[in-house]
Amino acid sequence: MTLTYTHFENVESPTGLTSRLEHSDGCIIEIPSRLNEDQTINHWKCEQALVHVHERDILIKATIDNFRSIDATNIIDRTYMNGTQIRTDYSVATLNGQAIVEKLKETWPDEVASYDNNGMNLVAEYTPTRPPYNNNPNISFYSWDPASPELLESFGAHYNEYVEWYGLKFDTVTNDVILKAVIPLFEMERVYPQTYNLIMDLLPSNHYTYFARIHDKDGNINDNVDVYFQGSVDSIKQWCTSYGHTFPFDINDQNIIKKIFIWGCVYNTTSGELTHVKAYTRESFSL
Amino acid sequence: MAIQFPISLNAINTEVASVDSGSLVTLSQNANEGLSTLNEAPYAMSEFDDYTHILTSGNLTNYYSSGNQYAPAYSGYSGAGAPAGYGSWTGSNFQYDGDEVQLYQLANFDPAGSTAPSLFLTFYRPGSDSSAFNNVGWTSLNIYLNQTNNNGSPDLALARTSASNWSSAPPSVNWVWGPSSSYAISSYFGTTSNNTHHIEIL
Repeated sequence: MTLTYTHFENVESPTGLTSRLEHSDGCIIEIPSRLNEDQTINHWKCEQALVHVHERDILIKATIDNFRSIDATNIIDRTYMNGTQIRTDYSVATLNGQAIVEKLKETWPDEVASYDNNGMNLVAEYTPTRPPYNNNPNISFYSWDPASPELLESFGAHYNEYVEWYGLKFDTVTNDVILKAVIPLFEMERVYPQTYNLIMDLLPSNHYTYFARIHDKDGNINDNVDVYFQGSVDSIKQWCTSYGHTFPFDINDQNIIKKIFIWGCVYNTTSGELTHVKAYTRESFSL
Repeated sequence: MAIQFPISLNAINTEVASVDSGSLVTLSQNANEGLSTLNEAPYAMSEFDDYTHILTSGNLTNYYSSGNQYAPAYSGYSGAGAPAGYGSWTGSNFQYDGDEVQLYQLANFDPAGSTAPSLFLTFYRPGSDSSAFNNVGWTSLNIYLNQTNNNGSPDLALARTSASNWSSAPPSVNWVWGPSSSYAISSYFGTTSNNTHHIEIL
């Protein structure tokens, strides 16, 4: 990957100067140059902005454009971590999804009003491989209906803002249920400013970032924090290499790369470290 | 901006955005003809009275997607996406930077949270040519909300040179305006699908 920056006078530019990035992938980006107070070019700001535009407006935008075409009620999501696939989520209306929904209805009939009234809901059966989850077989339920006030209260979740989905994890051995409360970036910053800043300092270049906290029914908030974001494969690979994180899947597997729609990390508030890097793929479900 | 009397060769050259020439013959041959006889001899500067160089115009019918935490809300037209993109566009292909291109995307991206919306414009060059584009050639993107012609003044006129960023990513070339609260997705291009707006690129 080669990045070449140039800066030149341009009467069309609002600042009279244009900054340009030529990327080895064939893309060229131009922005009005960011200037210092003395009207000289702020090279660092220009280069940061150019890289940001390349990622957000070209690479990530292409990903988002692609996934917008997938029917959100007929999907299969796969999670990768430590080089292997660790979980598969299904839309509740799919055959695989329906089978899991029936198990939820049987053992936890009253945990939510309905598991499958919203076709965008996702379910998965899996055995957790990372804290805070134990190693019992679990069922994961992601709801695209807002959590009811009663549900949030039962887990002691008292945030001002939530994203539109939340998760419940059902332990099939103990029958315990825990809540994944999913909150926007600004809510994380408001409620946990110190943790927010520590996490953001550790992350690679990220876009459309949000967080999740794990609550149990005793009102405890787990010290593992999930953070989700959009990012480019190249920059995350480079970041993993630089900071010694295990890349979540085989980097040579183009079949995974072309389906990635989001990344995640786990941050432990006790150790102050990012402990896991995850990648999520999405595709249409078909038998 | 439409050419007015007294007509100068300079004014014609400014308006005929597809070429840069001091030759009336060249400018006439590259003008958008419409119902006139601009492209054919005999050539006359007077034929450019009230001429506006519209590269393409048409009606955009939007597709709306509410978005979520990992993807911004979307409203507009895009030729990308299976099976036939999102929304629709009635305009013709046109010449840009020496190539025939099509308007491939004009859409509002409105991220969740505190970031304001941005407007994206993309031209797409069919074929296998992978050469880079230049940021040249047109002056204004005019948006007439909720109408199917260019009567009156545009609700929004975006100068090419006011874009916050430009990119060449062959076969596409892109401009972005924003983020700005001026581009509310409720207006550009609606928070429901199937709203039709008139678009012209001059």
